[in-house]
Amino acid sequence: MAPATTHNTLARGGIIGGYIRVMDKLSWLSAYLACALFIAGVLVICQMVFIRYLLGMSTSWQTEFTIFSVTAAMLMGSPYVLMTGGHVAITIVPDALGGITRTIMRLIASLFGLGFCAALAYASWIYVFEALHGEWTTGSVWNPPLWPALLPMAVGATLLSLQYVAEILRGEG
Amino acid sequence: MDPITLGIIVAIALIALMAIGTPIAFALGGVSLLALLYDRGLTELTYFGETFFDRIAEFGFVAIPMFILMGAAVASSPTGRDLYRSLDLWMGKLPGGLAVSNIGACSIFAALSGSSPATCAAIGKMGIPEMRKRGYPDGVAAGCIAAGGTLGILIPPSVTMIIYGISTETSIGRLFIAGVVPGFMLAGLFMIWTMIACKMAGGYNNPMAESVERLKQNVKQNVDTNLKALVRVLPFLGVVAGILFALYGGVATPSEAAGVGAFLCLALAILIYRMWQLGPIKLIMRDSLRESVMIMLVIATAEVFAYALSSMFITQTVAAAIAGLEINRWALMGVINLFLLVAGFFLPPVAVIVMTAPILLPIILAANFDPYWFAVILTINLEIGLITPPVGLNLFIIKGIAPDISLRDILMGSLPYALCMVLGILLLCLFPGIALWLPNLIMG
Repeated sequence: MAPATTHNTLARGGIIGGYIRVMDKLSWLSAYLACALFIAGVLVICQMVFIRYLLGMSTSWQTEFTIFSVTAAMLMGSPYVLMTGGHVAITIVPDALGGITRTIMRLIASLFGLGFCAALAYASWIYVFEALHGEWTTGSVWNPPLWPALLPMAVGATLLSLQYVAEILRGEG
Repeated sequence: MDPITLGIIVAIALIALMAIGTPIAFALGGVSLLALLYDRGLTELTYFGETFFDRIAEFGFVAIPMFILMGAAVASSPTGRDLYRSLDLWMGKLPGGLAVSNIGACSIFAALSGSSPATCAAIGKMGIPEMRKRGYPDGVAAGCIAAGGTLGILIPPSVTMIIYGISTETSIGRLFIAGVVPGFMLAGLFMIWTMIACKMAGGYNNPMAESVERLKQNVKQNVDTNLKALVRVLPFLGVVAGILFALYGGVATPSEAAGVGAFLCLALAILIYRMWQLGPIKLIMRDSLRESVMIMLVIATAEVFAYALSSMFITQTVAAAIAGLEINRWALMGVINLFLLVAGFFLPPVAVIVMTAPILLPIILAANFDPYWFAVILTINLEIGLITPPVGLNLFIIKGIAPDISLRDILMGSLPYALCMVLGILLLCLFPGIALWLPNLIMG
């Protein structure tokens, strides 16, 4: 098992180099946000357990908040994981073949991955705007508006697609 | 197009994409999206956001990043070193005592971290150099850690069991207990082989006599250090015991138990090992975020994949076709085992479980096999994949810890342990009670 992409640290100039650096910074920023959301999820679960099991009181918003914050953390963290080669892939065949075949295989794999991420980003934004305009709520006891829960998916998938472009530029350059 | 043909096309497309190196999550997601677009037309793209979000935003899944965070907190603290020291004290007297106590340390650390690579890395970092220093053959030193590390996905709390539980809608508490006895049985089999291997390697610096001699010399100093080490490890073991108690007693859901467990282990690592600085905490968060995101994206896209297959009646048709073959149930189990073993050779355990469990479970149930017993069989098959080429993750972790041991030695050293696991599967098939006795006893 090997990382999906190799992190080429060679400095590159021009617009491409600038784009890669901006994307790397954005992915880092997104990862910090993801960590904050992850920690928020842990703390809210502990608060919920304390209220429900130790004080014997009922809870209303905690379960939903945790689901949304942890899900948001996973999607917002995905560009950083792509940047650091953490999305697991099986690279035995391309590595064994080597040369131009390997380069072509990697490019096709990356373009397919990019295609999926871009489609997910597009579909997520549609979902966010529908939820926003329709003033949809989650329909639970807490019943908050739905769009803030969806927004991190749209932002995360968009950054993931842009980071994918950066990885392709970095890899092929 | 009939569901079987469609299923074959989907499978070939997926295998081809994975083979050229597409990240597993994106290959699964992309193939599912294309299948849904083929089935329902281009407008399906506008609903895909909802389909994806509904699959990933589940309270049950929250348990996975939480358990990973808990494991990362334990793995990045010196708990592994302390556990190792405490066990060396008691098990050092056995033949090949150090190697045996390494396997013991692996099985306990597996419970603490729930992760095979983390177990391998934490115990191996101390265990392998120490065993080599005392004259153990390289193959035994590497093999026993690689194999001991695989116990992480069988001994509870195990992330793969949670994923199986959610994918198949079976009780996670019951799955956890089902893994206990088989986990210790495997640890026992590993220990027996280690003792035999050490006896066979008599020409080396006789580790059996050496460990007793060493204990006699340093016993006083060791007892003191090791007892202190034990005191530091006990609170972590307490947290795991608390989680298991809460789950088996049905007191809390896995996500609640995991969230509190993650918080407590992080707090204990900070308090006991004085990890106050931002640096180690940032490392813990980075490692757990990376692993969680990787696993959760595979799970989310595999859920979409299962949904796509099921909505096109591929899953149902394949299950019915296999059930209709009316072959002997044990022959069927043999074929399923072979399939899992091969899948495990190439794919990480999480991916195999999320992709195959929803398809295999109806077949298993139709053939009158117990789903909890099957979870254990499935897990052991995937453990074998962790120590066999081409993608045996634990082998590469060992190579990373001890770069001067050749991959051939690591492989040859691990092979007998893989055979121990095959023996374990056979024992479980002959005596299903090994997995089912404890859950039936505790949960009825």
